Amino acid sequence: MSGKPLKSKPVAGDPIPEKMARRLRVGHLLRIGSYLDYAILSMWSGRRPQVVMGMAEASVKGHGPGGEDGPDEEILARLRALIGEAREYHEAGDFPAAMARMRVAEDLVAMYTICLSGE
Amino acid sequence: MRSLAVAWVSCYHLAPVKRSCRAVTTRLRGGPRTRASLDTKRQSQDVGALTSGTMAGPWAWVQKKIPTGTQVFDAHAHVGVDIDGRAMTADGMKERMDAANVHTSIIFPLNDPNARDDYSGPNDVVWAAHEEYQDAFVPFFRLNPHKDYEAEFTRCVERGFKGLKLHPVSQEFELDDARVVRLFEMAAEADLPVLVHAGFAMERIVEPLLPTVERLPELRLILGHTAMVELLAATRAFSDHPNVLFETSVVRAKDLYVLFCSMEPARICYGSDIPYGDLPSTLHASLLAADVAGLSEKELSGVLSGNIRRWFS
Repeated sequence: MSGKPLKSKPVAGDPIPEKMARRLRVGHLLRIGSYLDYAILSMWSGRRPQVVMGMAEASVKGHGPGGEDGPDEEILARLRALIGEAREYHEAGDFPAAMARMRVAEDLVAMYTICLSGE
Repeated sequence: MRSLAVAWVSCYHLAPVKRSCRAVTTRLRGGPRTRASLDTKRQSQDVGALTSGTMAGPWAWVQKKIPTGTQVFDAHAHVGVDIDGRAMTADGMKERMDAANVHTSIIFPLNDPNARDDYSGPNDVVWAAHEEYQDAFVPFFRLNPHKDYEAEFTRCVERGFKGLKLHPVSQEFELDDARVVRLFEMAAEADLPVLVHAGFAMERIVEPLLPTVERLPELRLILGHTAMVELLAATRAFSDHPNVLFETSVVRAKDLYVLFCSMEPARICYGSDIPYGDLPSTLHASLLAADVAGLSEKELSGVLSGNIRRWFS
């Protein structure tokens, strides 16, 4: 651990040291995983599920820390598709179809993060 | 050097990412999106929706990952109705199994509003389902330890039920309650496996169960949902008790990864928890975690089938 706050680096356009870049990627994926957790719990409890699923969908908007050609764009695209389709099924009343997609999204980002952390 | 995570997701990524709004809208029947219509639809599943659209890629990957010749055995499913409004029929369960190529399922009642004192009504529903699909369903009965259960236990054993389901959260009991311990003793004496809910909302699992497991080594116990909140404690406590199995239904892949890395795979069995879970996403979770944990095809086949099937052959 460097102990240096990340907020001072990087400035847009600056290269990011590899280790820090990996930490940033893991951090971004952990964020997404936590919003998926919130959304799944919200779906089960029935407390504002569309809003919290919307938060999960918002968490995957845009490029990852590596930018347009970054290493995580493939999984982010898959997550966007799963969460978006889950919202549509949920809004239309098909809870099982929505929950299946949210589960797959959560499991996918968790296993990807575990693989990334072990590199 | 190519990222391991990226390489993994690329292997996983068999189908292109595609999202079709039309696929969703054409699958769903019309009607206003009112609370009433939503609640009604909540009880039914469009089985095709679980393997199409963005689920097509994960489902294709799941099918490819299941070792050749493995007859998938689902160790945790429900038939009947629940007080929360969810329900599953024998026909609905069989339809899901056929669609997912699942060969056998253990079925037992939900937290049925018609259970009354002895659960005999919901147990009869499960038995009728078993009679209709004898090759597909392994029937377990359910009891409420707070009520007089001796007569229903005897009736179900004599009828031919293959196991007992207990739910400490729904029936509000502790696993070391004297009445529950008595049931474990009766099950061990009758050589009946017991599946215990050890998942969501559980706060005490290992400490109340361990004395019974140590005292009754012949008791065959299935920890539903892998004792997920005490996962590592459970793997350590029960590692030397070969008649305790960890069952995976609706447990997240990250929990299952820890399980696969901490427990001999021969002690783990797959479950779906239908209608709370579904076959495609729960198979996906188990296979994904097993893949990252590095299980062999033989070990995976055991998790999906052999580890639990041997108890009923």
